[in-house]
Amino acid sequence: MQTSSDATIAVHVDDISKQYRLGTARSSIREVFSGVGRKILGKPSADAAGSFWALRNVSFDVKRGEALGIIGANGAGKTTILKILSRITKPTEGDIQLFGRFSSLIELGAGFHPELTGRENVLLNGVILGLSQKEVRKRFDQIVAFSELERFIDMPVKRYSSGMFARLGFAVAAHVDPDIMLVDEVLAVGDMSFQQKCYDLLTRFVRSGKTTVFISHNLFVIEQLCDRVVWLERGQVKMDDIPQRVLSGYLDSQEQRILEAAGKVEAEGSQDLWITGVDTLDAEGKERDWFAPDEDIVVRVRYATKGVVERPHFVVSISDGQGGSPLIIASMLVDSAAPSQVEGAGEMLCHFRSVPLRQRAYLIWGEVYDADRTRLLVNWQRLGSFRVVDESIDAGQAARGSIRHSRTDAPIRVPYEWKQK
Amino acid sequence: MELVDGIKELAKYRELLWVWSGRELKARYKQSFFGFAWAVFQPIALTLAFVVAFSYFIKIPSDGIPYPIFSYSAMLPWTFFVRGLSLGIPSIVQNMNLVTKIYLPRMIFPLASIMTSFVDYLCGLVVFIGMMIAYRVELTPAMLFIPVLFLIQIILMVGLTLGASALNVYYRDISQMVPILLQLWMYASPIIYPLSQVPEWLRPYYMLNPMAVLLNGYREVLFFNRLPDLWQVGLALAVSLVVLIIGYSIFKKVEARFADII
Repeated sequence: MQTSSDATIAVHVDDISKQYRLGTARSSIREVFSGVGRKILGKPSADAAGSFWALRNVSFDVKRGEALGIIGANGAGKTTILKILSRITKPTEGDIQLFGRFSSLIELGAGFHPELTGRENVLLNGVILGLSQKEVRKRFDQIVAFSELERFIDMPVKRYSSGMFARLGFAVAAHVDPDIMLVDEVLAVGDMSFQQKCYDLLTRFVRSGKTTVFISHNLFVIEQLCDRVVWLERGQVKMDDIPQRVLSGYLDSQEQRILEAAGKVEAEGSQDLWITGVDTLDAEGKERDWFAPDEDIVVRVRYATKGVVERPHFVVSISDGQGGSPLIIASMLVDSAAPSQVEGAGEMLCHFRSVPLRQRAYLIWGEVYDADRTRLLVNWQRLGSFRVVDESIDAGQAARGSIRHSRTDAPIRVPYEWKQK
Repeated sequence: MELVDGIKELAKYRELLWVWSGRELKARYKQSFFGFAWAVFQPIALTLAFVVAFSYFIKIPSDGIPYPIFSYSAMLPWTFFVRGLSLGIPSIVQNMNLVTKIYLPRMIFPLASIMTSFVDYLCGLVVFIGMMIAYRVELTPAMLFIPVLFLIQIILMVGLTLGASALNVYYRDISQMVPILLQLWMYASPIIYPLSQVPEWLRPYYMLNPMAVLLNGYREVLFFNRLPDLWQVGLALAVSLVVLIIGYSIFKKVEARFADII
């Protein structure tokens, strides 16, 4: 099987595709007979339409000692790849090879039996994960210490909390000591301190020169741990490069998605006042949907009314797309700048000065209250979007971590300087 | 050839098979007061019922052997057969959370069911030995043939369980069918009645059933110190091997898709 002449390769994924059937995967006996009938008669199989490709022609290698991250939206095929790598399922086409003992962390404690005690389950799970009984016994104390479940180790695991369950599961899997570790999003279990422990252990594993394939939505973790990132989109490799480049491409596309979704917004309003359009202008009054950091941004809200509306209170805010909680807000409820009355079609401009935002996509949210500030004329909703582009960032050159700070962390930047004393 | 690879892989994972079977046993009898005694209750209860029904109410001939030990001698290996199959056939579906989450040779599940049934069988055997002493059944050289019969039974059980457990992933109808088929199969085998009661003309067909050969064989060597008809034993072995090869091929063919289907 050792067809790869390159001894530095730990995982070889060669042009794999995976097809799944849609609908009921299980066919009834009647269907099978009709399928056989069709085959004999040379009619096309009924399956052809009801299937989809979870992976299509995916190839990549992982070098010995390399930590590879796989990112992608839900349904991009990340978990399918991991299942194929861990031999849970086979690719429809193509071939994979793993050189060395592997352990997969797809679901923690998957082999646990609820009736058995923690102790019995550790022994059992260790053997399931590929250790010999002797090896498990040798590591038993370490495993239990890591899980911090010494007091509960002789209790049936059905009485464990889900956090305890996962902790024990992780503790066993982490002590299998494989050459290749396959990790699905499993760090999101347990409390903060246990998560940190898992993260530390993975870091140590990666640093000790073991091969790791790592799936996560947590770009922070991916960037910290991985030497290389594969970005999957609809079952295909969209990008395969160093984390800085891939993450920045991935973030761009996610922003694009946010912007596209925002572009479709049709603002609703009450009978009295409604919004007909929202866009962004620069300080000179030119329409623009991108800005440099610290530039002025003018949000223009076009509205129309039926008859006269007394003292409408406009609220305009800027958020970075995570749930719509505002980073910056301009509210007539606070500044009492509401116009005394409006009638017919009009525009309300809100001029934000030197907006201290970092590079990424932002959303504009807003609402309009009536004269008494109690009734909403326009509900709180997404009204538009824009992007901040920082020309001074070069993704390719950026050091590890810098993308995270510029792209996923703190959106606001404030002038500062360092001083050593 | 394929079968050899399968045996090799099993050898590699024998420790897992061992540990997994232990887990199944422990889990089954945990929190049950009588524990392993349950393994013995089933064949004994059935035997008692047979004794009352077929030697007290209706007189079924038993070739001059006391009816309790006559029926238990067949009931014991038959219970092993039934338990192995009825635990093994749904075993892959029952362990689907594992099948879709971790790789381990999927053969482990049905095979472990047969292993745990074997442990139950051993418990029942203790009772049988007690009965042999009570009924003064003498040890005879013919009894050395028992392991041969037992091995054929294992081959048949493994073949049936592998094939049916794999198909059961696709068609859950299988596990619904199994109890009915086993019930019918019981009446088609010499358990409550002796082979001598089967009409002469029917015997050639009747003996195509390997379990008929085996169960009758156990009685021949236990009570009459004579070997069963070796042609029939050879036929039972041949049928069992064919079943094993077919069952194994089915298993191997669909195994790769278990995780996608469940």
